[in-house]
Amino acid sequence: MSKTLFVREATGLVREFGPFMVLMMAMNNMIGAGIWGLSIRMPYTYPGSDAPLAFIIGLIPAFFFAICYAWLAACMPRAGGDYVFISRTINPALGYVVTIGNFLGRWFSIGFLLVTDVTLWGVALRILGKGTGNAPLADFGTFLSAPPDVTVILVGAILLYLTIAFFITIGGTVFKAYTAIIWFIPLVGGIIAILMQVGNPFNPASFSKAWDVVWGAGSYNEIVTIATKAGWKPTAHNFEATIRGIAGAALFAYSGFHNPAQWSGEVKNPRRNMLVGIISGTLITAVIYIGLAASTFYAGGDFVSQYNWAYYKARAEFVITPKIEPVVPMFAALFTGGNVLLAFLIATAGAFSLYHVQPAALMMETRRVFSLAFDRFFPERFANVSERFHTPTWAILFMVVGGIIGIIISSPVLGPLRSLAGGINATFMYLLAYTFTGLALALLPIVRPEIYESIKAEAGGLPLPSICGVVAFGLGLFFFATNATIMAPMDISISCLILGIGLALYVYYAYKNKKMGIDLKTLLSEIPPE
Amino acid sequence: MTLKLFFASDVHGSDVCWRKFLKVIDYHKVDIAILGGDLTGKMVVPMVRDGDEYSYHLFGRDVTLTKAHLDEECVKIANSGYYPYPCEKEEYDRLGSSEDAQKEKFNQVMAERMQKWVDLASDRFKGKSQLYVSPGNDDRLIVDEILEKSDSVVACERKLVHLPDGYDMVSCGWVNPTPWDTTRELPDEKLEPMLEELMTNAESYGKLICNFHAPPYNSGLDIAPKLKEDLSVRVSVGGVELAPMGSRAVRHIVEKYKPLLGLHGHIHESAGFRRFGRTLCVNPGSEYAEGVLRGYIVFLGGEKVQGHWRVAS
Repeated sequence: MSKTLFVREATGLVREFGPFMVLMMAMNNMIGAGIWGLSIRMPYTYPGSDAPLAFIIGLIPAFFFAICYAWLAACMPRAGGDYVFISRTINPALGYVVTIGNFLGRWFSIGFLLVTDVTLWGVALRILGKGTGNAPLADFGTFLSAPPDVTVILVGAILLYLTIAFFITIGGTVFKAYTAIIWFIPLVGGIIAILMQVGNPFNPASFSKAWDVVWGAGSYNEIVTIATKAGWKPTAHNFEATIRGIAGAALFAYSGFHNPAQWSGEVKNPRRNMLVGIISGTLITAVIYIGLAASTFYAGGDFVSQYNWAYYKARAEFVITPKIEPVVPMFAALFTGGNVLLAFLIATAGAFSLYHVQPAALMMETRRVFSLAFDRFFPERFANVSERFHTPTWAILFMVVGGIIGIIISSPVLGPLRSLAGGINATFMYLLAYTFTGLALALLPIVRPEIYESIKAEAGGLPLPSICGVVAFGLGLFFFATNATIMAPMDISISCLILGIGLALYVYYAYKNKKMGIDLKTLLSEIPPE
Repeated sequence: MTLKLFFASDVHGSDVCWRKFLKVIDYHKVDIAILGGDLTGKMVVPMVRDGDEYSYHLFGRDVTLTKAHLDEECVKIANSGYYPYPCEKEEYDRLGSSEDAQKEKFNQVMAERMQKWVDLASDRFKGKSQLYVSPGNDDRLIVDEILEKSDSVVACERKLVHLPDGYDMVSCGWVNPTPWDTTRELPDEKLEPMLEELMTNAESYGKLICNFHAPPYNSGLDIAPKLKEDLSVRVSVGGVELAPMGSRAVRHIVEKYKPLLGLHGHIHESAGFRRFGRTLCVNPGSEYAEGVLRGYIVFLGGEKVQGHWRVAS
């Protein structure tokens, strides 16, 4: 029987979060564009890749990355995330460079998600309009999802982003309901999408009928014809393409499990609950991902690939079909047997997913910027906290402006210039953070044994966290390298340039601090106790 | 001339944090080291003997160990800020059934550890005025007695102390009310006169340091989770709802007297710095349970703060 602890009156002993809140935070930050957008585009972006298999195998590195964050957050609950994990355990310059890369990578990620989100909201409104016989609503939905002027997407994405900033700034208890809604709907919509699709194996006759009802009479044949003319051929699955799909799509989809780490100071019994919450959140997300990917391709058959081919190669030739970039709800909503509510729920599940990751993601990156400023390695202004809103408004503004830059870069409005400006690859940056977080966990028992004490666990006489950290480091390196091979040289150059700028900033601030008399060696290193 | 100081706060009984504190002067090459309030721990961890084994519960797990490992485990528990208490089952039952007995036990273990700390400091700092220590709202009054008697630390609570190079420091461990009804709490309207009285002891404010455990209200150094009546945190978009928990009295004093430097703690998760005109206020935060000593190194030159850096050792 457990022994009681004798606790006295002292500040800070609150009833904190349990594992369910941790789970919700992790899932809120994971389920987004990776599954609702990238997965369905894999036949084109990674020809020959097996999307469901990519998400199954992709769970393995994601699981180990998630364990690293869970454990490190459990033993350093008030540290402040991977910036401190890496700086404290490996090297502060490395922690700094990885952090700069990550919050700049987040700009691009925000942009990509919200640009895709405009499409998803358009799809949802079109489906609702069509289903209810509301032609203006259906037309508006079509306009939003495939606007004749690409500025609409840009404006729509920025408006969505500003609503997020608005909600974060205001806060308050009213928005608990908001949080619950934006978590619940994608979960339920995703499950319904899986069930509907699983019950409808691909059959050209029935599929084409269902497709044409939603997307226009003759649309199915139009797509097949255009795709064939553009050179589409069935492609057998190959493992190499699937590995590329993991690096480029699946791991982007799984990113977000590290979000609860920033709140670990408020988690009750973090040693247990961070692990339980983050790992179970990752596993539940994986079930949804694998289910959605498998069921979409099961129900959509080769047509999924044909649609991708037709859209990316020859959408100028679409006459009947709206020029909508491939997203899962376009397919999943076909199988609701005319039930408008279910179709709308599936469609909005996708739209909410991409929206709901933003608040938590924004706050996480804001904390990173904040942390750098506190350490005097970023302009002091970003350490200011607003008296009115109790939030670091300059840091938030920095991220909001960056997010808008990311939206502009990710939208079609830049045209050919997009390839020049869109080089910050978010997955490249995230994988860098995961890789070195794995290394940080591997080294923790050796370099910071007193911190390791609270998560101490052994397997075969070796520290279990170290074993997991080594595996995470290895997998991280492998997929980081694989991701780099599928990036365009220009994108690699820009991403590396960003990291180089990060290092230059570190050297600048380190030199500035040193000139003021501080010994940098002692700034983040451990004092040997008396 | 520059005065280089190190400030930490809220070690909450962590043995390793105290032992690191004793090394900061050499390690960070500072002139003096100041430890702000909340020196004592929050929990007694009973380690109940059963034959040749002891068992206890901590960090969500039950641990059973042999007598040979008892000292080692006690060190680990003490490093996290808690008070290990090996005892017989009868004693454990006695404590479990009596709040008065628990209170008495807390006084005993707090006093023992505080005494051990000042004795440890005595080896290197006896007769020197380099270590300045003040209690906080969580510290029972027994702590003050031990600090006052020490020949190795300068006890600062509710006094003006003279620092090197003509600087002065006033300290106060009292805070505005918290949900936990701790030892040193006063409503702001009563706290302010206490602080005013301290401030009148200072001859000038240009080189005055205010070591006030409570951070100024709404300063960004006092942001903590909002709590419901049952002490669970409030949650909304993006996570936990936050609100300022600092003292309006401290804020008034800082804005009125414009001291050179404000040293604060109390809100562990709100580390940072904030300027109120010429006054720099810092809160290093705390990671005592992980054995990490968070602090601020501040360089003072004349009536200016020449530099400040957050450290985590």
